Amino acid sequence: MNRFIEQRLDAAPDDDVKGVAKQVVEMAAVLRGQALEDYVSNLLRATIRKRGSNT
Amino acid sequence: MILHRLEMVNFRQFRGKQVIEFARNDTTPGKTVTVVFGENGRGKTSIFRALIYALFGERHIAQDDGIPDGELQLVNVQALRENASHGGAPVEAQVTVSFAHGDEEYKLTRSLCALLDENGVVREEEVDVQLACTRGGNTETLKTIDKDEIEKRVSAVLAPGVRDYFLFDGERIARLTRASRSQRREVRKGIRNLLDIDALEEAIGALKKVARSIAKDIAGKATGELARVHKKIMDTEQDIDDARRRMSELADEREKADAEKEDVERKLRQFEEIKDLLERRSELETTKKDLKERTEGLAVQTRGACKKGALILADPVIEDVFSYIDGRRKRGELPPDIRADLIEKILAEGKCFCGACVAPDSEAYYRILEWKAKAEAPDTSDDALELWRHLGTARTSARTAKADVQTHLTACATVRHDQMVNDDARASVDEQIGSRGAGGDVKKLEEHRERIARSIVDFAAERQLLVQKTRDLTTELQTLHAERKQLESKQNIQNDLRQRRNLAEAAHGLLGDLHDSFTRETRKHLSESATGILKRLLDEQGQRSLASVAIDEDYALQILDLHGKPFLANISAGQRQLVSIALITALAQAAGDGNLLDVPLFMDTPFGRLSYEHRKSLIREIPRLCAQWVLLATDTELRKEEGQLLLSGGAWGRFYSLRGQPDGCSKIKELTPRQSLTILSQAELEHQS
Repeated sequence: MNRFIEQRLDAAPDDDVKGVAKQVVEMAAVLRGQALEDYVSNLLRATIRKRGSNT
Repeated sequence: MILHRLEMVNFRQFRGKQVIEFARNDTTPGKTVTVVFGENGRGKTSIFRALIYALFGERHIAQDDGIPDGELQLVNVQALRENASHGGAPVEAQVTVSFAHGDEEYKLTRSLCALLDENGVVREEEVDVQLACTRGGNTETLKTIDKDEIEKRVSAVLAPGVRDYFLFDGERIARLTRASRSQRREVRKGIRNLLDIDALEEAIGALKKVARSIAKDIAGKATGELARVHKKIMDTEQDIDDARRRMSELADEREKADAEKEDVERKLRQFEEIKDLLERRSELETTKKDLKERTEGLAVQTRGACKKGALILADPVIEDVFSYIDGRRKRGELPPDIRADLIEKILAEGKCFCGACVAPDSEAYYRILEWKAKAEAPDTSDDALELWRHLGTARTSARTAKADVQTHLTACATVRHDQMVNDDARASVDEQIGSRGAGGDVKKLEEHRERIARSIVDFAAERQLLVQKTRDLTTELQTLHAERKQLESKQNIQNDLRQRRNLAEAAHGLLGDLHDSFTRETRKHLSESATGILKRLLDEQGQRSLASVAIDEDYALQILDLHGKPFLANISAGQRQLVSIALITALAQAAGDGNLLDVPLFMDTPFGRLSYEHRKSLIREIPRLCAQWVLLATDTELRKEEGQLLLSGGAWGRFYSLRGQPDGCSKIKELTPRQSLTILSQAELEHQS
């Protein structure tokens, strides 16, 4: 990932939002279209689940 | 990507195995320049071709414009001929390129097989492709059957949209500075590829789609005020999408209109250039019309004259008969025009009507008797004289008709000659006008240009309205999101779906903001960086006239003069080459996040259009701006002076000389710096002599 993008993402306040954004950008270099959308859906589900288990 | 080695076997001019090891930082720190030196036809471009073929499987390179595939042979012709004379066994050729990318090492080999058939036709085909990828001591090998995967791996190392920026013909790279739409697209595509903007936009798109899909599910279950807000949010998002779609359509229409306007203006410029010729052609067209009318008039007159054709045809006979009768008349063989009763009266009175005496037995008496005898056949004599008179008239008419026809035919021949002269003159003018004259008349073109210009103004106005509308809708959407949040909070709704939607929307918003600031700052950074590099590459004169490189929202490249005015159209071909190189190296720096991007700058004919001052700047600056520099240079562009500059700069890594062999093939020989400078001096002396 481009360093500019990475630095700006790192500066974002919410860890979950930052994590999702970073991972989606990384996967976007590999996946396209429906495959990327499926990945995003699963990632969101997993992040919320993880957030639930942490609280 | 850093090039390690290029190995060619029976490829193009190179018979047998020939190898180039590229200078690189990890083996010779600081020495990253490889020079391949050779006269024309020794195989420099074949080395460039070998690299492109090995990496991408493409037989053609940019300078092959219009060469049919069948005419381009990659396998060494001498080897083919020799095999053909010894039974005709096929010849195998091979190109292997070894390179590193990050912590991975690649070895990519393409093999070809060729046969010279009995008709002297070369049949050639690729028979094998292998990619070995080594990481941490483990090697994975992909073979021909995994061709798509091999292509994908190579593209991941050097994207097709980017490669032309780094592997290029020096004289052609100036195209990046041409202002046409397609070139702008090329620049834009290259920048986006290099900077991963495409991936960022894909990510934004996917997050938006997923967030909307979840929001739709939630809206389906909502009731009351919350349902109304959900509905309003979805409608507003739809309106924003529609506005953006229309903006995108407008951008396409604008692009087409701009291209059309460029085309019309080009034609108008051509018309201006050929104005005199067009006026001359117009005059010739008028003359042609006049000549045609004259021809038609003459045809009518000639047809009229030809009605007396029978008379003209009979003229020789008329002339003969007339001359015959006239001769006889003159000789007195035909009676004079004296009546028989008058003769009788003279004889009876013995006295002529003139008063002379005509005594019997006198000479006059006998003469009168002769006349009397002749007058005994008065009908014949009268008819002959009558015929003589008519023939005289017919003879005059025939002569007049003949003269008339002669005059008309002469006039026709003159007009025909004038027409031929006119045809030749028009053909010559048309040839001078050539294709420049095609495309309609000036007035129509000017009207068309006006229409396009009006459309462009309309597009801009509509776009402005849409930009404002999108801003307003976005503000409205933010208000609606806040309202939705408040309502959901009031109703204490916090289920899994809503959490996922909120997360997707937040990530989407974060990346959206990032995208805007990234593209804005990148353009600014690229402009500044390219300006700085260009200033270092230009000679004093260039530095005085060119102030900066600007990259606009559409990634169009522009050069501004000291007054901030566009100046690109006025710079020379050599300066364009430098501007392109400045942009490429600035891009490489931007993509390398401030470090040197691991991509070689592989230049065929690097200095062809450059003056010595500009060559000096390139030799001084490029090794600092790119991780690896490969130069394929000829004796006219790389002289001892340039060699010494390279050597004194400290970046000179390897030098190869291409040597012609008696059989027409070439051999690659590596030389020490001292040997290289000697070769360059010799080549310079030979060139001068």
